[in-house]
Amino acid sequence: MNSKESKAFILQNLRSALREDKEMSRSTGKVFVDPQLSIDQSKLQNDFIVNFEMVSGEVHLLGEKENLTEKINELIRELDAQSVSFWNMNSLKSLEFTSEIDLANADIGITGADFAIADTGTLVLLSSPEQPRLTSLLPPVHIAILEKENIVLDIHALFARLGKSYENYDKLCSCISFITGPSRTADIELNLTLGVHGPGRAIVVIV
Amino acid sequence: MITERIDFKKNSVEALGNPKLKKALVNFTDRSRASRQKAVSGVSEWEELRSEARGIKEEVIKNLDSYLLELEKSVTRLGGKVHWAKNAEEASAIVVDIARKNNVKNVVKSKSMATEEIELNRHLISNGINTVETDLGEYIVQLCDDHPFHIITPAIHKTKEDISKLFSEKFDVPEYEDPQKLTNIARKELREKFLSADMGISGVNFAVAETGTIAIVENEGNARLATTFPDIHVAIMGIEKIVPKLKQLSIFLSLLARSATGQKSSTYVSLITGPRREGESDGPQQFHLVFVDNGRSDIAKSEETRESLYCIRCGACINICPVYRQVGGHSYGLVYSGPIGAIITPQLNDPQKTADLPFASSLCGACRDVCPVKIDFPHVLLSLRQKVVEETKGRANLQGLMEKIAFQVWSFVFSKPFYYSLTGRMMVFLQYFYQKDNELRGLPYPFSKWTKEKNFPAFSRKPFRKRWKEQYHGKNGIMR
Amino acid sequence: MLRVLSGMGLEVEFPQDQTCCGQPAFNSGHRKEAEKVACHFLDVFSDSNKAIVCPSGSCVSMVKNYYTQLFRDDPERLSRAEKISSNIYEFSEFVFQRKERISFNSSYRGRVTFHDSCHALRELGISSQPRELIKSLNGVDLVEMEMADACCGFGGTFSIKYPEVSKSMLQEKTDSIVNSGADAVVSTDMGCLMNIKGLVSRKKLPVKVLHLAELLAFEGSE
Repeated sequence: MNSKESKAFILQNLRSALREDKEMSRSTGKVFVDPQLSIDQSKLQNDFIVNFEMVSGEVHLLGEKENLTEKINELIRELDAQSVSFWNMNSLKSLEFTSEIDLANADIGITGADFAIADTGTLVLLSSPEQPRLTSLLPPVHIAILEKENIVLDIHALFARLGKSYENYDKLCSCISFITGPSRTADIELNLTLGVHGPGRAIVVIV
Repeated sequence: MITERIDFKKNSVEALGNPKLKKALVNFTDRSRASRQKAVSGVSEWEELRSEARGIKEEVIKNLDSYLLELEKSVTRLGGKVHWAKNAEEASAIVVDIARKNNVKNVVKSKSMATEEIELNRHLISNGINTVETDLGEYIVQLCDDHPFHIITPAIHKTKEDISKLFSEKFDVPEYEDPQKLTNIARKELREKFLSADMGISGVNFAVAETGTIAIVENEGNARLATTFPDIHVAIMGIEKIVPKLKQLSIFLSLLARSATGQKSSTYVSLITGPRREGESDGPQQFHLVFVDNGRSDIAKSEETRESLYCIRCGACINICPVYRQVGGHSYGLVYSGPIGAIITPQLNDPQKTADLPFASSLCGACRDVCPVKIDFPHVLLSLRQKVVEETKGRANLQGLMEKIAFQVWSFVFSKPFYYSLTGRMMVFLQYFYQKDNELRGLPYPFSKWTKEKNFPAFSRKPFRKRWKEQYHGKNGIMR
Repeated sequence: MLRVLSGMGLEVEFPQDQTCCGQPAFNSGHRKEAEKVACHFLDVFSDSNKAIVCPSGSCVSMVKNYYTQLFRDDPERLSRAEKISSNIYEFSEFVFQRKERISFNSSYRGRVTFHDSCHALRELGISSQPRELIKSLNGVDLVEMEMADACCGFGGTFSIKYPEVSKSMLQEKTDSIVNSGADAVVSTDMGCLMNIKGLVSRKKLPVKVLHLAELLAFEGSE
């Protein structure tokens, strides 16, 4: 086995195969983002909620007078959690719990959400030293805090938005996770079951 | 690699004789067809998305050599490593080699058809490396020492009773039949495996040349675990999986989830760009990407069948296929089944051993209508059929030879009007022995294959052209 | 078909030398043999500018969609094939285009269900035309069966190569026909009709199997 030799073989084979017709793309480069579309943020929020709930996700809207930290404390108490792990976020600094180091033992993982997609009910989380990937994955319950300004219309708008934040792809983060509801499977006679590997409950608090 | 000829007839007859399987298949295909239909009807620009995706794929395959090099560069720049494998053995050997060098004992795998294709598990296990499939369906299939039945839902041929019994035997638990309870048992068993794994292996749904990003689409979260938890992540991809630009992923992701499972979005999509970065507490330290050719660059050579490489493995063609609905996944011999199996398997393997597959279709074309990248399945099947016929030589394939002679006689008769009507008259005479109420039964071989279950219309005693001549004037008489 | 077409005031001509379009061989992979028969088809039909009307969508699709492939390397025949392909019609689409000119004289009374032939539906886009024609008949109700667009299992030599699979598909089709409650099934392709009729008569199922033309020009009582 020699990877270099195989590389030469594959490239050679492809070149001989495709040499004659190198005509370029039949792709029109059509952009599926409509810039004319007026974005009604409250409609986006409603659509997100409908779609996230449709896939068994749970949504809490933070009232104008409610305090986020208090709301999260309340949720943790309701869930009767012993240990909680969360991202290093300002809004979670004064939580009445300390972040559990061993994620495998945490009952709840709390994260932010960098974006959300209204059309599909999807949360989008970008990884970074402050935003580990496993917080939204290992514990049986995932709570995500979403700022409503970060909800975009659809997946095409999301990628347009990502494109803007990453003009230089050297800075693209190591992992972008799209999360649409709790972990699910239909592998047993097509019966839907939740929490097979990831969290069985996915809760969003919209701020 | 296949050692024996895939006998579609034998396999399908076996499957047809299993009423439990038939019930599962009808239930499964009915439901997946309906949910796909519902999901697709919610997207006004569906046809435009399909055209765009197809256009992108056409361009990618035409320029695949440059895109592979671009992807390699992007991955390397991020600190990942790219490996090139020209066939299945090489691909497996590369993975085994990475495992050995890093002293890997335990491997967790997420679902990947490419790894099924190269039979990676067998190689890892025979080298003493514990390898566990972690997708629930694949896990069940692995526990039974079986093969996946469908590329999206591998264990759809197992009933919950089967699975309950299996889990009870393997894990010393009572026989639960509640699917949620069974799922919970699997979660517990597999979570342990994740925590002790030192290497995670995944497939790749799309690989972005521009950024070196790989996209992995799933519902369970096992792929996220397998690509985050262990120190080493090895991703295996067929070389056709490339998408040039990151933003083009939005098109393919929209198409894939809806076509595959009728979801607006799969539960998890992970866009992984290189290994863990400095300061991060999770993600793999090493990222390896294996390019698998295994016959794909040869497919790219054939203008007629090149579009087979556009496939994004959604399984929509399988779910809609009326033949698959009768015979299920195993009849197609290898991992890819239904229409995509019928076109891909013969091109990735010995054409003689897979010669049955291009004919395992009624050419109804339902697959072409649902394909998110508009693969013209009937067109590819016809081209593969022609190839099989042209390569049928000598006595090695008596049936094929007889068919060839039959069609030669047929083409002679049907291009000479005199012999055509003469044959018609002969048939009227010959059919005498088989005729009852204007229909034929019990015809001799090979027509017996028809009349075993069905009647065949009798040739009219007075052929149409004779009636025409008598009733209307002249040879090419015009009727007013 | 003759009765319907002449009932529309059209002149109908029947070239006596016609045989087949070559599809059976083409679909089985025997291109050379298909080409031979297709050449004969061209010789018989390409001299005339008259519309060619055919009782099977499958044959029309062969000429329209696949002759260009078959005669790819034969420019002379290719141009004849192209001329013909703009001039050939499946029966129901031809009649539907001229439906204002006619009122059908069908004595049929009852419920019928329609089976979509795969090639008419997916390669010629014919779906509403035959249904509209059926609905225009007095005393005939169109009831849709489950999965009307599912293949009946014929598929040419497929039904001989894999008769068991073909039969299983056909069984589902006849089940949907019977379950629809119709007393006749109508289609626009001789292949499908021969296949469906084959099992219907063998099992003595209580449904008639009719070509659309037979329904439109039905005589006598059912």
